[in-house]
Amino acid sequence: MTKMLTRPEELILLAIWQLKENAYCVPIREHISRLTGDNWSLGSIYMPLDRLGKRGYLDSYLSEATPQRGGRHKRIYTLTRHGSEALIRVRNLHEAIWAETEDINPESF
Amino acid sequence: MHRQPPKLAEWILKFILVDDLWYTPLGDFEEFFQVIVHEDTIFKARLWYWKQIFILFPKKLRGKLREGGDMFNNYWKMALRHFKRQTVYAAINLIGLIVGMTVAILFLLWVRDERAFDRFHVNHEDVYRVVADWPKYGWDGLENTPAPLAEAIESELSEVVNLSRIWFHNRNVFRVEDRFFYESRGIFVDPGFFEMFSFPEVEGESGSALDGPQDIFITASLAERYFPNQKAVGQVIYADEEPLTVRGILADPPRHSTLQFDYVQAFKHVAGYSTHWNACQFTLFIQPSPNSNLEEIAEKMTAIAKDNGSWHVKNGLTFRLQPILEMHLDARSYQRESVVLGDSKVVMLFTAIALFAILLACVNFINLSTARAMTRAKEVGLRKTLGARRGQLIAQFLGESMIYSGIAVFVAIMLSAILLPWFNAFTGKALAMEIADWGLWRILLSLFLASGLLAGAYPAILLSGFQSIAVLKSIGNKGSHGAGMRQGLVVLQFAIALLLMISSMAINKQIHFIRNKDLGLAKDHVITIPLKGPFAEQFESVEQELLRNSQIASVSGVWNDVSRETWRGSQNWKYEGKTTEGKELDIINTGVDFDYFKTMGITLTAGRLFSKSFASDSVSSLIFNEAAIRELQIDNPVGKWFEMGGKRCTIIGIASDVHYLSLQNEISPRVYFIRPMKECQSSGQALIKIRGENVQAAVNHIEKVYTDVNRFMPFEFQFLDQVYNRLYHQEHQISTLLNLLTGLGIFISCLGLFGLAAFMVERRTKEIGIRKTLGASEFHIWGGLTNEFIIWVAIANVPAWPAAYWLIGKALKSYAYRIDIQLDLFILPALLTLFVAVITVSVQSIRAMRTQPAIALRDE
Repeated sequence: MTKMLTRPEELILLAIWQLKENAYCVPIREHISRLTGDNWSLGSIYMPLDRLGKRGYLDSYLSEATPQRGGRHKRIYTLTRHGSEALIRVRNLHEAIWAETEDINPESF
Repeated sequence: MHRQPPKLAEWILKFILVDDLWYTPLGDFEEFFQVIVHEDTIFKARLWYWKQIFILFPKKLRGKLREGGDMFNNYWKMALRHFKRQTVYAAINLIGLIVGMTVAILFLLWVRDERAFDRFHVNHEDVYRVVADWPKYGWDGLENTPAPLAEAIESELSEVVNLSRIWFHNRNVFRVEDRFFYESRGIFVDPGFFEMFSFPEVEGESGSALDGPQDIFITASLAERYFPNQKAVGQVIYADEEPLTVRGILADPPRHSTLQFDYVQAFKHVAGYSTHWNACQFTLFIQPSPNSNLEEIAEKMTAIAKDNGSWHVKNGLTFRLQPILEMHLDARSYQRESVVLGDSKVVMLFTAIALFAILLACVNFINLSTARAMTRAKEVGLRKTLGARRGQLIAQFLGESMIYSGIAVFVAIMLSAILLPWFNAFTGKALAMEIADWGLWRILLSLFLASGLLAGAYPAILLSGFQSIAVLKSIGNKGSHGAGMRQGLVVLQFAIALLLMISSMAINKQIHFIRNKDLGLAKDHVITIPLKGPFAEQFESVEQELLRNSQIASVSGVWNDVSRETWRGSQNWKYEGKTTEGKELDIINTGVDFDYFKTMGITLTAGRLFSKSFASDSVSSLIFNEAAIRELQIDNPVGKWFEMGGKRCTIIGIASDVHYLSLQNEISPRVYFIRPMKECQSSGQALIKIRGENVQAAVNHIEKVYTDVNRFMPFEFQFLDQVYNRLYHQEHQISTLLNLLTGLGIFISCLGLFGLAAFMVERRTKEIGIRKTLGASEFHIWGGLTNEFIIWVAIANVPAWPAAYWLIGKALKSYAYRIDIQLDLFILPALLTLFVAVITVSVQSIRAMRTQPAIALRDE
């Protein structure tokens, strides 16, 4: 059985898919922070990125260096086939679970 | 706007992230740093950036330890085991290092303190003192400039931004309401002074307020003394009944300021200062505009003085600019009450001592570790067989020496903290060891690293270089590794110890010589009192009053402190039958009171003394010293005329030569003449010879007479012999320290020798056992063991003697009157070190020869 993606991992993979050529650490963090409304630290992006890379869900290549980065290269992440399969798996799971669930209305509690 | 993240933090991060070839995280950090700067403050951004180090470093460390942790633990365990198993060697190493480091810490603290002077001035790199060189008369960087030079520079040299003359006012009595204060640390300065130097005003109007003749600035502590719990600005202080208004309060000059003063007045109001180009009497500071050519400015100043007809410059004097950071350690300057001086030579000496102390201790470490190499050889062999790389082994051994050095630094810190009060009292410093003192940590860190590396590098390279097969099969001579190096190092060690010993003996001998040298004056039982106020004005009646007491033998006065050089007049003199045309002669002028020679115990070699029964004596009679007569080449001088200050005077006598100054100086030509003491208030001294039967009664009488006329000024007096002892205060200090250090140096060296001998005896136990069974005498065995070491110690004399000869020669050169360098200076230390070395080694060799052969040979 392959391990299910956690929610932050899912968010990061989706952010990478959406950001395409701009998918490196700083914009990923910004993207997720905007979506969730929380202020994510750089470290909370690095750790899952590292893990996902090791599991083979991500690939990376070096991109151009900009002056804001002190002339250092960006590491752009891309989704691999494994990664996209993992995303589809969680999505299917979500949909399956929600489809079998009665509507939840917070007002009723 | 693009902001840079903190450089240091970036550097550390780079070090942590070294595994990432492209430093992409570092780029991310920098970019995110910009985001925080943009959204928040730069401060928050910096904080965040620094925080990354603390987040990343533990992770990095954990990763490293997972790879090498077992190895590291093993190294640590080995180090501790060696320490336990060989307590004696470890203790010798540690004690040597601790002693050496304590000495080094104390002396480096002293050196740092001496070098810290005047750095607090914001402009310390841009301000220069104008000094004069005049090789013909031995002037080398004297701070004398003519007063109009400043004005000329101001109008003609546009490169000079600021300048200020300083006149030192060393005797002044202030009155505040009905209280009197005697002040000796006043300066008169030009407005540029406050632009150049950082003596901030804590209260009052701006710096330009120091302008009028009645304006005065005082320091905070003086203000507190004069006007306790009052606002001092605007108050009036009376000097000679002249009202001075306090215009501002200056912060007290910091401890590290060469210039120390209590009050400041405007230079242009120095009472009747000489505006003549030929009167070189002021200190001048200038601040040229940045990047200007200093030599050119100095040349221009010399040229300006020449154009204005300065006699000195025409005769070869040149000006030079001296950075103010060099001022404190330039011991050639005049000693004044308001100037704190050090000596660059002493700073060099103390630095050298600190380095020697460390070197001696490290030599012990190197010798003992290489001598014991064989005990570690098997370990090295095994480690290599198991795949240790040479780099790893070097790291292991260096790590061990670092552990030693770390422990030694730790103990040395505590020891020096304990010794610091004593050291301070002895050197007259206020050194402190504070936790927040980064400079101190830098010294400690560099001591730790330097001694760790110095001690560990050679053994580490030697030990790690063993061939595993050779050591595991015990091929080769045990313990001979690095033997040549070891012998060389023992020679070096004892050469240093000998050098210290010979020099301290030479200094002791020179001091003994100075102490017992006949100065030409009877300095015992002479009391000197500064002439000030009514005590000077009514000196004639004071003299009569003093002489009423039977304890007082005679009373006189002189126009300045005789132990300091007074002004000299270099010129062409005219006198009966001759002139000194073509060669200007330097003659020191000394204005004295009647009875001067009697009071000071100076004998005349010809002629007569000044006497009140000759009316002309108080105007036109001169007494020369013998040196002057020699220089002037006058035959039968008594009774001949001599022209001085345009006046024709008569030579009435010749006084014998007197060593007024320290023996570093030659006796200069000198002329004495009568000068009324009431005109000598600025620097005159009363001289009172007492009989010495009841000193206390005499002093009481003098104090009573003094306070009768001078109620408001404190009674201060000194014994002349104390004044002369103080001239050699520094020599005394240095010789005491050097004696102590010589002792420590020999102690450390002998510790090492002791350890080496112990090791050698241990190694040769079986050999000695066999020799004894074969019938060797105890003396023979002792000789065989001791010989080897004694030869090294003896060889140490070869480099030590010439080095010491050169060093002593250089040190003694500054004395015009000095001891001869004789052979006993060298032979005695040589014998003494040999003696100590023989005893040290004998302790071990006697133990060896006493051992029963049966015990020695029992094993195997």
